Amino acid sequence: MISKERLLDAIREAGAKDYAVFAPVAKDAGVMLEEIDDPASINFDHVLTVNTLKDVGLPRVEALAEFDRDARTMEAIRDDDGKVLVFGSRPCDAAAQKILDAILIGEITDSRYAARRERMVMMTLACSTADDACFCSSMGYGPHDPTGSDVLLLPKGTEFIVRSHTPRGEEFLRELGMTPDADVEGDPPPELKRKVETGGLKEKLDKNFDDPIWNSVSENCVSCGACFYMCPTCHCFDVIDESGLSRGRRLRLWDTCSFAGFTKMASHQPRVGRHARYRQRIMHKFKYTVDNVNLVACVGDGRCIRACPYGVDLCEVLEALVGNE
Amino acid sequence: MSRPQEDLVPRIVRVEEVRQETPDTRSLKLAFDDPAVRDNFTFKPGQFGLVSVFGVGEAVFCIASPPIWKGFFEVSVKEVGKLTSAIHDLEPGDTAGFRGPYGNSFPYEENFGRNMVFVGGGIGLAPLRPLIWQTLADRDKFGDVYIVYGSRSVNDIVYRADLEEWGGRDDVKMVTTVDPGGEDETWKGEVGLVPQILEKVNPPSDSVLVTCGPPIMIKFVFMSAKKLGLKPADVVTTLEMKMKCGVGTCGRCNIGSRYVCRDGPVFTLEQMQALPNEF
Ligand code: SF4
Ligand code: SF4
Ligand code: FES
Repeated sequence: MISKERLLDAIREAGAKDYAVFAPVAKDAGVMLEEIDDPASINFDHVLTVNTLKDVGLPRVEALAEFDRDARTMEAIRDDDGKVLVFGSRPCDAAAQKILDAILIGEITDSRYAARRERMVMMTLACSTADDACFCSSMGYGPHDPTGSDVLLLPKGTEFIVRSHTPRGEEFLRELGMTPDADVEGDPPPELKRKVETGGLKEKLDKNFDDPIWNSVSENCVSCGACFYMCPTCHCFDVIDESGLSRGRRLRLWDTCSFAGFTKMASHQPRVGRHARYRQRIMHKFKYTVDNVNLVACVGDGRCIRACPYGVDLCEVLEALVGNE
Repeated sequence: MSRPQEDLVPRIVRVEEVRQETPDTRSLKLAFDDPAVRDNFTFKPGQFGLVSVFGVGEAVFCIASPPIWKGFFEVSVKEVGKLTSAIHDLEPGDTAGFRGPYGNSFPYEENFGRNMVFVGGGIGLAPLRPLIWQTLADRDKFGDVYIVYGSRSVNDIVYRADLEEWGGRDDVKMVTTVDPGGEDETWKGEVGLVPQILEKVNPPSDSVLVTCGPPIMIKFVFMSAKKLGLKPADVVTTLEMKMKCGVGTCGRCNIGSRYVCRDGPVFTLEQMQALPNEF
């Protein structure tokens, strides 16, 4: 067991040992996961951070290379060589990392993401509260689930029980002089109000590509992409140049299947209509990723439900799909 | 880690030569600056890469020359937008970028002994071109070789020198056609749509057919192939989708569970029949 004060000291020490520390801090927009200097600023009592761990492993904007047309050069830019401690993200976000790993460190590996993951330690803070949108337990995880975490901190009163779940977690605890706790039970996990039954969903999706249900479930979606930006497992990106310059940078930026331009070619648009784009979103998460890496690309963090300005509720959509004959 | 690592950074190439194919299409001969890269560059017919114009961006093109031509490779680019027009602005000696080869390739060795039918429409001849040259280099390993090539009009014919050479061989049965109205007084080929001409050519039903062209042509060629009695597993095409990464990570080019960049771009009709209709 470790007190909050000693925990903050340990994080301070990690910072001194050259870890870049990402942790939740209160901002105007809500609690954000950001790189911090002073562990005293860490927020402990939020449900979830607004942003996800994608900001650490697969940043919104990232320079891939610097080009100089006249000098005939295109030099790779890499800033993925530092050690990173992600402190205090939630179990659902840690689980999402596992899904991104399976997709981006696959047959062909995204070198920057993989390099960052190799140097990343995940010290996760198990949840003591949940809100109306949380449904992680319906996706096979839970408020105290260790999936994806190197170290899991379980709240017990005002203190924390320390559990290591990977060799990397063990090594990290050793490095900071901390010891994992055995045989101690933490506070019970919060009860989740929201539950969704997804039995049979995959079998339905295997067959219902052309079903009219996609029109009704996407009725309120305006393809704004908010759910994508909030989603911890969405990983799609665009590659562009700082334009018009003979010297500049090649960037990659997040991009999403919610936008029509995502698949639009000069002479051909294979995916026509909002219902088709929404179908891609659901199919990709609950069928295509299952077909490819045997994981559902949803952890039940509920961010898309909280974010959608038009009240599209993923759980209701899944229920409609499961119940559709 | 032994997996291939992709950092999405192209290598530098020099434009060696530019050839105007048609009023809106140019072929570029490209060579890597780095001699080691140039000498070791290998690929298979059907594979593609991304061509970069610095400050504008990059886009996917199939490699349009066969791997047996060494020291350089070619891409053919139709001007349709900002990037392709920037590629058209490139002149010999100019700098560009290239990354690849990516994707799978046309079935090859498994078709030794078979009759081959190549069916191209317009610029869709580009991905077939390396395969045709390779097949002709191994000519004695195949049965009959048919080439059916069609374009909208006489002015839209690409790779004229290649077509002339293939047509002049007595071990190749080649037919060229233009869409009705696209002919002129000099035109000696057929007049009619590619699928109709293919049916007229009437290749044997045990042939392997490889086709590429506008999506609508491909759909009709599939129907003709069925009429001719070809097996769906022997009908092959290469698909075009918008791509950014080329390797299956940017999430852009899927048709159902298959990523065209990583699992394609080459698919058989049999494989395509299992995909949702979203291409
Ligand atoms: S749901 Fe759409 S944006 Fe998200 S990862 Fe899948 S394809 Fe990409
Ligand atoms: S947030 Fe809502 S409206 Fe926006 S793309 Fe997602 S489901 Fe559609
Ligand atoms: S081009 Fe990025 S996934 Fe295919």
